[in-house]
Amino acid sequence: MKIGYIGLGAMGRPMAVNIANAGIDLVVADTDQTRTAILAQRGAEVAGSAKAVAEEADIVLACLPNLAAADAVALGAEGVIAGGRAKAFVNMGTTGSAFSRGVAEKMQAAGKAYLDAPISGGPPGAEVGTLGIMCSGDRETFDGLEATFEAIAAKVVYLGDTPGHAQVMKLVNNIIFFGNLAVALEAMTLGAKAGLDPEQMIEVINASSGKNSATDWLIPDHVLNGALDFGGANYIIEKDLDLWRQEAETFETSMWLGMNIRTLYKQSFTENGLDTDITTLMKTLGKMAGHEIPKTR
Amino acid sequence: MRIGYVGLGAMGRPMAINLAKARHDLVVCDPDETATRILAQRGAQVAKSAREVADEADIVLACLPNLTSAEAVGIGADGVIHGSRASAFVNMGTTGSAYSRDMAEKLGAEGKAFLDAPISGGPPGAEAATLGIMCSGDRKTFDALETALNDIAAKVVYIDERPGSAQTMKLVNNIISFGNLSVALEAMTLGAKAGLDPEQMIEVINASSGKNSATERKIPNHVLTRSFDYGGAMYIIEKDLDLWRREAEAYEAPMWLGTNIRTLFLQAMNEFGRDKDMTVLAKTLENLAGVEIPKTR
Repeated sequence: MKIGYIGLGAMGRPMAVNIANAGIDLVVADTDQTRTAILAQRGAEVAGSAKAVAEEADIVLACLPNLAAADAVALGAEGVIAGGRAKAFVNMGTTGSAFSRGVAEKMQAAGKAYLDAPISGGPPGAEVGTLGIMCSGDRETFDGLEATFEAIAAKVVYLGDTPGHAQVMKLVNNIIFFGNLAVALEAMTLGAKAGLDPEQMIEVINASSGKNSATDWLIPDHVLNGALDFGGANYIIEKDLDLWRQEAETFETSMWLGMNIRTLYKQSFTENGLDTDITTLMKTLGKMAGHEIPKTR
Repeated sequence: MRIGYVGLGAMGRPMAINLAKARHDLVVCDPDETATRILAQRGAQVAKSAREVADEADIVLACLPNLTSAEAVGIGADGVIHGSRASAFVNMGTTGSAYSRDMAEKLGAEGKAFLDAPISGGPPGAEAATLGIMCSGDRKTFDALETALNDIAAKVVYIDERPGSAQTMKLVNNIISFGNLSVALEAMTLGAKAGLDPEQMIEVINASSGKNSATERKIPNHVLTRSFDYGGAMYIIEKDLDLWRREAEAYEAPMWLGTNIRTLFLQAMNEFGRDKDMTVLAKTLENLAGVEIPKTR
């Protein structure tokens, strides 16, 4: 079986490298020739377009940075839908569920299967092959990708056969993650202003009911050392928050807290820039309080 | 050393029982005779007032449900301050830091020491002796009490010598805990409305970056069962949220998210009552979203 990979960016390139290194038959495409050259060195075939990839591969994976590119790669005149050999298209980007439903319907009309497979773990996870993948859609395609996913992920979940469900799942997880960080930072900013030691705050919270992913590792490992280097860039967070808001609108749910969380992050994007880390939110809260959580390690 | 315990409610009773089980010399009081009888059966002496407890015990612990009773027990006419034997008063309730500073000053004027020792872990933690206790104030009292505290808690932390620090710490922890629950529940109502299975949502979140204390325990054990019986009543949450708001105002710290979280809980109280469990917040969020998270266990 031949696997196709389209989109060799920050996530796609390390994923494709891991697939190639696992000895899986791979054909790739990207507009950037330096990227395709790296994969060619690892033994992958290079094709000139998404359509060309779909002429050579049985299952085509794609990870694109925006909806326009994702749409063109899937459904465009030179897209996967136009390729004769490919039996399935796998969307690994975070696109929101409306994209998934739309593409799945059109793919199915063209006799191709669709699988949603958004990922978590960022570039670090992609490099070392420890991604989390949440899948929904065609079961057969999912089963056919077992070896491929093993090469790139530590945890793979199949949520059922509905295209879009995996997208919603990812955004649900992410808004909770963004909330964990924002609520913890806001509370710790108060604590710091009241004279509490951040290390002690973290120790107490993690032994108590306040524990969450941010207090457990994100704040200790990336905020208290002053590094602000988790690796989730604000422009990615912005994209996720916008997609989450669209899901909320699609499903007609008001999301009071989520919208408030989003607004706070938007404030951070404006003040700290879209290219800086998600953890720069602590500076925005520090500015509002007139007191920033101090560096302790 | 004789330990006094005033206030044998949802938290105080199991704490006093665990102290008795650990063979501490106890003298207790509470207006509820069923509670005092249970402790008497375990070998505790029963006194008729806080003052009487303080006539018999060296250190008096108190856990009261509101500021009025906390004040009366501390410095009222029949309060600990007038007891002949007690050299220290330990406040285990959540009272906010202003109360602690006031108590410490007034008790200090009468030659008695003050220790703040608010607790976390709810009734389940009190019963299982797995509480988190955060202390601040008189160091000597803490040292004398440390063994006893470790008999009823999994984690005991001494923060600093300022009465009130521990209160601020607790409120910081609590607002994060309330945030964990409300952000996760709100996100899950979106997921439910999109058709995701709650058990899968919880499984994925707990293996991903969204994990928090609510997704780990409160939601699976008390919401997905539709039993709404975590054991933290809304009127206690209301008290904690009011106290946190006062801390934020006192320290002039931002509370964008905290205020929003508080508003949601108040909405739940208005809809369902202050005597209900904190987890009925799920129902308020379900009403807002127009969906019920299905019962899965």
